[in-house]
Amino acid sequence: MTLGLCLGLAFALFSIGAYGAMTRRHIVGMLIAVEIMLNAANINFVAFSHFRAGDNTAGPIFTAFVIAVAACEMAVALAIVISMYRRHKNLDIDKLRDLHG
Amino acid sequence: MDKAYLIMLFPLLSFVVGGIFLNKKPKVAAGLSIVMAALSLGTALMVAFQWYGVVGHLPAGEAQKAIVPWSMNWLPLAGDFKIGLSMYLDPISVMMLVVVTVIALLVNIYSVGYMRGDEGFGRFFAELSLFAFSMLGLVVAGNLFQMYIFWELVGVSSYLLIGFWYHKPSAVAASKKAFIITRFADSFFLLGLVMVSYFTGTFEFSFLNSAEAVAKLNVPVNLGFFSASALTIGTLLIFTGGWGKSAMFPMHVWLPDAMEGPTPVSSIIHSATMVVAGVFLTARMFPLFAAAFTTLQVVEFVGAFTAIFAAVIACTQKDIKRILAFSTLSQLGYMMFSLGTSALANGQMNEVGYSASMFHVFSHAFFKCMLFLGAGALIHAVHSNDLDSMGGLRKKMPFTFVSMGLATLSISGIPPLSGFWSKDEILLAAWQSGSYVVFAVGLLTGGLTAFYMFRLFFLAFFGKSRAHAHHDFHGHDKHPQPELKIHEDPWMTTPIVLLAIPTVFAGFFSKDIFERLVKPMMALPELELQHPGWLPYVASAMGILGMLVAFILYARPHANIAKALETATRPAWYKVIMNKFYFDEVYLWITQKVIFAFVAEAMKAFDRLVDNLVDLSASFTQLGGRATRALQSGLLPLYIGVTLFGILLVRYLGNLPL
Amino acid sequence: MVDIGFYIVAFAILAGAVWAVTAKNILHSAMALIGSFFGTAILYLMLSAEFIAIAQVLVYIGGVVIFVIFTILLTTRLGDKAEIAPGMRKLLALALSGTLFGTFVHALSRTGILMSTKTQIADSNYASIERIGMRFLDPGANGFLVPFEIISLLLLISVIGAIVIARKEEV
Repeated sequence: MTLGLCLGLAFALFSIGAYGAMTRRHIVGMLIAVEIMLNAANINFVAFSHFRAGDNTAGPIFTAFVIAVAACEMAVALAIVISMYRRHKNLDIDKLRDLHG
Repeated sequence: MDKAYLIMLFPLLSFVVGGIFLNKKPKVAAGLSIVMAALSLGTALMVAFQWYGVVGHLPAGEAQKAIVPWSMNWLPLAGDFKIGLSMYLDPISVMMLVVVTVIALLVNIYSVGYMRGDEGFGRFFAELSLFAFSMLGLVVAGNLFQMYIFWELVGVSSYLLIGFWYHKPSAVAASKKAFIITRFADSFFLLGLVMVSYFTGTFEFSFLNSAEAVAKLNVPVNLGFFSASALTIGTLLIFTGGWGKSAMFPMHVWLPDAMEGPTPVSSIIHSATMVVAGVFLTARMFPLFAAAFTTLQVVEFVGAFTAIFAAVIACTQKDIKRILAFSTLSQLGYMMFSLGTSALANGQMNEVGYSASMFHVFSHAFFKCMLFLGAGALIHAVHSNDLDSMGGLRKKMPFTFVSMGLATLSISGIPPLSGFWSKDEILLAAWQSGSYVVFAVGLLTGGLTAFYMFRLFFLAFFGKSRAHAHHDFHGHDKHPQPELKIHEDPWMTTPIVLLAIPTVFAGFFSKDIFERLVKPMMALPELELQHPGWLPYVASAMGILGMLVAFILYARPHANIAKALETATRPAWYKVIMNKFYFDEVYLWITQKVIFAFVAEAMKAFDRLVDNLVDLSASFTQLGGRATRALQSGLLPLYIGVTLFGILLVRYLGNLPL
Repeated sequence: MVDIGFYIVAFAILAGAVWAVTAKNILHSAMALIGSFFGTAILYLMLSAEFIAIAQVLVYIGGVVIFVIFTILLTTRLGDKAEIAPGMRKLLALALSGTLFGTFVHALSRTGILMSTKTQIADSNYASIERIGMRFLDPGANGFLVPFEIISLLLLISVIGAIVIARKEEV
């Protein structure tokens, strides 16, 4: 378990999350993919603070912040999703757009 | 004299200000035009006096000097080859400056009376000022290119003014015809201009008129099936511009039709100034033409033929403006062939032809202008162009009667009026050159000129008035016509009377000056040539003969005027002449059957190609638009993808050295 | 020993993530997410960040993912199949994320971190509750007092916001 391996894991996770964000058609699916990306960032923070000397309490602190903010964001996002479902009865991204390109 | 350019700027100012700002105030436009014309005349006279003071006392035989009061560098093209702008004052430019400004002022004053009540009153004066500017620019142009620019400008002004009454289809057709024919001729002029400048490396007249330029041009040019010297070809091409602009046969057909324009236009443009531009060009480039013997021969024969051709047609016309138009053609022919007679058979140059031609330009401008203005007064009085409606007008329009009488005498070459002196010089040049055929043609044409001019004069002013015998325009012939109020408008009569002065006196006051000063810009030795003493008598006799014949036919107390005026029962040869030898019809046939059918089809195909190409480029734009639009689709995943793509781009292309 | 464990955990995390992203049924996706987060918590434990591990399980899994599941249950009918993205889009997304990953790895390999074999440098108390607590409440230059307070404010605001947004419209 070296720093490089942990970082590689985080990168892979981030890429998977990005792929999911672009691919998913269900809004909640996209939100899940965003969660995965945030998770990857967290791993990154903790890995660096674990494998480096110096003032490395900041690592976990940041992670705590990210978790808190992610929770808030999901709360609001899902509230919006519920509201949208009530309005359109449909949660397909491809159908929920006003610009027609 | 360094402010000489003001002569041209005054009418230009009148055109710009009058054309743009004074549409609602036509009277102010007219006043501005008159004031500017007067200022222009004043400046021109001042410049002429100054010029005479500098140049006028040179001994005879020395090459004439040209003064360049103003010049600037305009287009430096390649090394030494550049196009500049300059004012070039040699004897003929100064003469033309005076002529053009005098006539412009008088025609401006005349137009106030003639165009009164016309809805385009202000526009007329603006366009007249444009013409004055262009013509003045033409005569003082210092290089061929500059002259070409003003040449075209004059053509444009002529187009605008011929088609002034643009609601009349015949006027529109006439203006198009004039412009197209002169433009066609000008394309050859352009070729000649380019050719001459290619060989000599310059456009400037001061250089082109020197022996060096002649030498540079005298190289043979191989054109495939024949080879000629560049000098001949170049001068012939340049002459073609004058051929069209001065309406020599066979490009004469536009000038009679140009009479559709208002009479002041006809008097200034198509008699006194623009149409002599061709003669002027030939005179300006005279040293080059002098070295090209073939070209001078062409000039001579074309001029002579046009002179007699037009005179014959004029004898049968009934529209007074057409008669005067053909008269102008004939006189232009005189001026041209006089230039051509400068080449003597033994290779020497005779300068009499040159100064005679210019002298005739000078005197013709005045009396022809006055004839047209008088004709305009007649037209204005009886509301018709035709001789059928005129007659007995000498009592009602006395000033016009006397002035036009003087002008008719002058054009017929009766001494001591101005026309006699200039025609006499021309005939002398023809005799001295040894082309006796041309001399005979000139003499005969003189007689014909007297005949048809006096025919016009007698039929219009003598006899019983036929004016009210005509139906009016609406054809109400049930009611007896009231007598037309025939009157003389003072705005119109004053210029006419004023022009009588030079008509009478320009002759013996200027003969001396012309012989001494107006000479070609090259050193010519004095030649001892024949000077037949019987010449003036014979010339005048021909004029008097013509006058008498006209008198017998039209003015003696029991002359059968009605028979003279009717046209339906004439013999066939008369009808051919009356229809101007059907040249118009031939040209129209060529245009429709040949040009429209063949050339136009090819052009149409090309047009379609271009249209499709344009459509293609438009569809590219549409494609691009559609592609760009897809970016704004509202698809969230797309936005995320584009963001990522942007990030990657920044990573990979972000540090390009920009 | 640690290494094998790491690989297993890493595999779990990645597998969970991949399934979460490609599952046709949203609920399956959420479940896979729970698995992935669990794996992450174990990873944190292996990295001696115990507090964070607990926080991950409590907040993420116990809060966020449960909320996601609630939403899914509220807005879909059981048995609904999520539509699949068109193939072109999948390809493009794959290309882009693949390039992203490649960029990351390339950047990493240039710094030599991959080669390092050290397993632990920091002392094992770096993420203890005590330390984290002290830092959170430290008003000095290196402290996170102000962000701490702001986070509490943020939590309040988002709660209020969520309620307002998701409220049933008064007819």
